[in-house]
Amino acid sequence: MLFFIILLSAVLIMGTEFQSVEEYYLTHADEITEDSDRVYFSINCEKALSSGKLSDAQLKELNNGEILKQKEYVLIEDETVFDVLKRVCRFEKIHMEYQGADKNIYNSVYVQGLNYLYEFDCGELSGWVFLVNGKQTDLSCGKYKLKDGDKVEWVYSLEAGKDL
Amino acid sequence: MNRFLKTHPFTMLVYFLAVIGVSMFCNNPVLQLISLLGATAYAVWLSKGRGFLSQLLYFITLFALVAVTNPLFVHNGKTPLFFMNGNPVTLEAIICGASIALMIIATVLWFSCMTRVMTSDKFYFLFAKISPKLALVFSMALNFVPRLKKSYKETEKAHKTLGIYSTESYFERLFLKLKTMSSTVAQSAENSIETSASMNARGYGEKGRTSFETVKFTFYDLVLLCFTVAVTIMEIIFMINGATAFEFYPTVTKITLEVSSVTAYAGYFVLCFLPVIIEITESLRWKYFVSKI
Amino acid sequence: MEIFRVENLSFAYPDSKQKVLDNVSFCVNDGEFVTLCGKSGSSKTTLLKMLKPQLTPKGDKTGGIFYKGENLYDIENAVTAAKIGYVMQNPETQIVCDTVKKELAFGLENMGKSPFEIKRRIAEISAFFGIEEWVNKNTNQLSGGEKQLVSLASIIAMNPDVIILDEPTSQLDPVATDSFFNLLEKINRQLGITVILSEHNLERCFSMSDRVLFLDDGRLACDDTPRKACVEILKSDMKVALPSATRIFGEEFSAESLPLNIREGRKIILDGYNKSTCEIDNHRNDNDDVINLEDVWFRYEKNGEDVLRGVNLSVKKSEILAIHGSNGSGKTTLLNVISKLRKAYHGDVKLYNRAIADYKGNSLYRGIIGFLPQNPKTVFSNKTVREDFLESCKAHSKDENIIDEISEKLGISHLLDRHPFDISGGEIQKCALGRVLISQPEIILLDEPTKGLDAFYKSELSEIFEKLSQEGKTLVIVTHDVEFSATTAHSCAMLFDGEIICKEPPQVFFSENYFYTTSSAIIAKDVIKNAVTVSQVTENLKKI
Repeated sequence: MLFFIILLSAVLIMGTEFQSVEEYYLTHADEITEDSDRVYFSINCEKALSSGKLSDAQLKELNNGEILKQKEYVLIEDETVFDVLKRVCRFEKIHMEYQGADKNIYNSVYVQGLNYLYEFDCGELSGWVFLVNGKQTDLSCGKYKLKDGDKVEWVYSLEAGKDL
Repeated sequence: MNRFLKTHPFTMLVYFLAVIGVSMFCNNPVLQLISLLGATAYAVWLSKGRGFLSQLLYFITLFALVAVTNPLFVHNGKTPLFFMNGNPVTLEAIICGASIALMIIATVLWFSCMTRVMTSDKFYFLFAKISPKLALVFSMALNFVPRLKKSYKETEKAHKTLGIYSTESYFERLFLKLKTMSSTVAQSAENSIETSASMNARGYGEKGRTSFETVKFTFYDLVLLCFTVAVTIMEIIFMINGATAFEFYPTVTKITLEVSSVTAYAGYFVLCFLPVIIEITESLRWKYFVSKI
Repeated sequence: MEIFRVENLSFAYPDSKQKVLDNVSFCVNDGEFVTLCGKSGSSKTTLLKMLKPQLTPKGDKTGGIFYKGENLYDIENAVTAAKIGYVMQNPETQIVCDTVKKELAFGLENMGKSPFEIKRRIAEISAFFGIEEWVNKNTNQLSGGEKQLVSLASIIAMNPDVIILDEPTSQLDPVATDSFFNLLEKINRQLGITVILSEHNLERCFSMSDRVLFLDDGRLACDDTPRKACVEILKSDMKVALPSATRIFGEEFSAESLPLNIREGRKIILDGYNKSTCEIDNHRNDNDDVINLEDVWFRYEKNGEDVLRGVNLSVKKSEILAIHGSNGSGKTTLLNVISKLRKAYHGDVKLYNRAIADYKGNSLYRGIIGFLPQNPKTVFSNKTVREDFLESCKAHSKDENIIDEISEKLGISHLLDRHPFDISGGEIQKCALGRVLISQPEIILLDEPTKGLDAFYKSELSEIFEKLSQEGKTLVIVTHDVEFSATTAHSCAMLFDGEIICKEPPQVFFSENYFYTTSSAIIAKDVIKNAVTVSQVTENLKKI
């Protein structure tokens, strides 16, 4: 019994990638050059502030709703919305929690929380939604491929995207 | 030694429900810790220290297991310690895990104290207050399992020596074990007809069945009951209005020592240690009496 | 005052033309001790059940039953439940609750008595019965005798006028039987409660009874004082059930001086008979040893006490060995060790000179050992006896003809298509034995085979065992029944303190014992040497 547990733990540990805090945040800070593709990224959660369901500690972190003001970032070819989000959060040291596998063929990634604000924190229908060029897309963030000049907004919605 | 055991079953039930309830629904680590300490103290008293070390090892393992599980799945929290597959393992998650572990262990210990103290005849009494017939069913049920076990063992031995277990295939042996079980159940059914005849013969079924178990509800029980209810209500209020409210994410709430929170902690402390306090005072009293001889 | 009056009672079960009770009339007076006797199947239980409305079976009933002058069935249920007590045969199934206290309170609770009164009655009863020590025990920790005691106490607590008992000691060992009868006498003589008792074990009852009712084939053949009843019974084939003293001297005495118990029998023999010696039948057996136990030690748990402490025993082929010993002395454990159901941690157990461990798997149960357990019902698992026999045939690859052979031998052919649980008493015992015999075992182990049987079945069983022995089978019987052992066994052994103390032919065994012996042996002590059975005494009586 004990042997089985040890074996299982060993397999799990070997399949996991560990990084220290510095390593994680040290990655990805590409320069923006003249002829590189670019995208505009912002993260906003104003709607959450008005819901009244957040704790004081959370509110302190949310910076009046603007977690990330719109900024320009290099777009590497064939990158999805999620790829950029990951890079941005790492570079800007914004907390992110996601669920699902990014690198499998299904690309079924789902973003649960950004900057300590999680889905369902403001009610059953609340959560993070992303807009590309002002509109919601049919694909998940792990599938939608970006083009040069796209504007990506991550907005916290209180009604599953219907209030945007 | 056994003063707390003599408490009226109703008060006892309310006490345990209160202590376990507060422990489960308030996520304040200080309260969990108090609960754990109280449960441990009483458990040690009940078992007189025997077998405690082996239990201790078991609980430490359980604690480690639960405390580790939480950070593996929850990545909220402002203070990441390291990253795992892109998700942070945070200090807050670890603390939360530890708190949950404390709560689980405290609950387990309280339940084990409860089973020691709330014996079957106390349950019987509580049932009897609701309905004497229900209490009888309870008593018969308690009798039933040992009888069935004994009957099964006898039948199994008989079938074994009949040589019909000697088939080689596992499936056939299993089938015969089922046959034995069905024979046991059939015997039990036959026996129950005789038992029901015995019950009828003694007038079962007449209206107005009483139950003879009586436990007096004394002043001591009343005081204990009121205290328990008062402290529980106080804890609930403090939990709701924030004196002992606790959050782990994004940052761990600081434990303040204002009047309200200190009262909450102190009150719960007394409640959790009540059995031990009662037992200790009682044994001191008796030692005093004996010393006077 | 009359408690019960039964007038021309006849009863037949539904769908059956045969009258189970035929024109029975009698009455029972207040404070009397009445014994009801008769062959198994003579409807004693039915008659007793007719006196208790809650247990009366459905069927065609004619005639009247009156309780204190009123028609029994017109009286309120609550009254008959409390005033007419009924103790059943089986100590295990009568108990309802999990602790003794609750069981004692059961009847009183049903009557709706206040907790105060119930507590008071329980205190009273426990003191009277002397069971205060174990009033808080769990009922499943009690022995059979203790359970029966609790049932009786529970009924007495309800303050009945009359108690009806249906073979209450049939499942008990002699010591428990004795205590139970003592208590019954106490209840009757000291509390004035009327007792109506049906029994096979007549040795003690007749001396205690005021009247005896003899039921023969549903008819009341006799309703008289014990002595006069004995005169009647001696004329029928029920005489084998009578006390030994009565059987020995029955022919010679008239009703007034007929001996009913050991004391009276002894007086007669001392006053009127010369000394003589009975020939000893050694049951000489020159065969090889079949079972050998050498210095066998056994205990159930590692830190428990030893149950068997250095048992030495050898049994020859064709021998019928009876093992005696008190309750808890380890008799059943000994059988379990011999049959490989339990393993001795020290010592040798050999069968046919092979160590028992060498019998791999279940080869032991395929033609070498057969085991008849205490509870014959556990032997059956199918809907009819025939199906069970067929199952055994298949498992042991025997031809189906063997079923008919065995049924003839045991006299159970008419029972083959009945459900095993519908059969009772001696018949189920024989059917269980039949199933064990299908595998044609060489060694048969029997655990209390005579429990609950009447004298008839016992003598039938005795003949069957002798026949089996003559066919070459070895029988090891564990029993409390000294009378049966004296007539059937070839050798008797005593298990005490985990050891086999002695092993001798019955005549030697029972003559050498002063206390643990047959009634006949006690009656004939110092007068007729080596006489331990009724026939041995009768054949060697030398009148002065």
